Amino acid sequence: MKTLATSVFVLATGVFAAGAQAANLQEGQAVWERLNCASCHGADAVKGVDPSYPVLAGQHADYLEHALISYQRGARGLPPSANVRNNAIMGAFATQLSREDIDNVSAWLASLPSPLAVRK
Amino acid sequence: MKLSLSAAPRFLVPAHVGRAVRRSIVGLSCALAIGASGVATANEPVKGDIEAGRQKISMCIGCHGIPGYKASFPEVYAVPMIAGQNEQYIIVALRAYASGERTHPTMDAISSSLSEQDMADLAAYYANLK
Repeated sequence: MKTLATSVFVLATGVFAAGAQAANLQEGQAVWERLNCASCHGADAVKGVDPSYPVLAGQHADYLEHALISYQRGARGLPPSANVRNNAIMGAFATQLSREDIDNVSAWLASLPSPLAVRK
Repeated sequence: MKLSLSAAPRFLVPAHVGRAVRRSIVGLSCALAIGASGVATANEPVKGDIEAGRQKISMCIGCHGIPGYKASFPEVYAVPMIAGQNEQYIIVALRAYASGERTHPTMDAISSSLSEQDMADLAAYYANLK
């Protein structure tokens, strides 16, 4: 019984700790699948269907968040001074994301194996 | 060569000549300048040169080459990793900053200073960093 109580406590602490990290990787993957991001960016988020699409896997999570928020700003018609990205395709997808979705999908992408580096 | 050709309309075209005509003359001059310098022709896309790119990274490395370096407007975020990024994407992103499709104070200024050849060279360099 004592062991059970301890396990429950440990589990609960683990869940709490994961929640405190804000982003949820599983939810992030669900966002990726819901919007079918892989249809353009590739299943591995490295090799997109067009050579002009970026490697997303392993990129800094906060940069990916910033990029998605900038697409939202562009799609909402904010002025250039607001730091925007005007792109019909990404704007249409980004505006379907909540702030939580953005945090989660960015964290999940950042956790994937990647060819990217700050310097090599 | 490039400078004298693109400056020519100012001296050679009278003030009463319409803007559209002036613009097409400027365009023609630019095309001539590019053609004359042998950088590219309409049918031949610019080809990136890794070694040439290596000579042009001084404006990039002050942010993109420093681990943990952050940009701060309007979000605070680590500047993206570009080593190993797709070559064509780097070109497309630089063009987007230069054209105003994307706006970012630093990247707007830097990309506007780059020629198509510079963009291609930098993209080739960063995409092939191993």
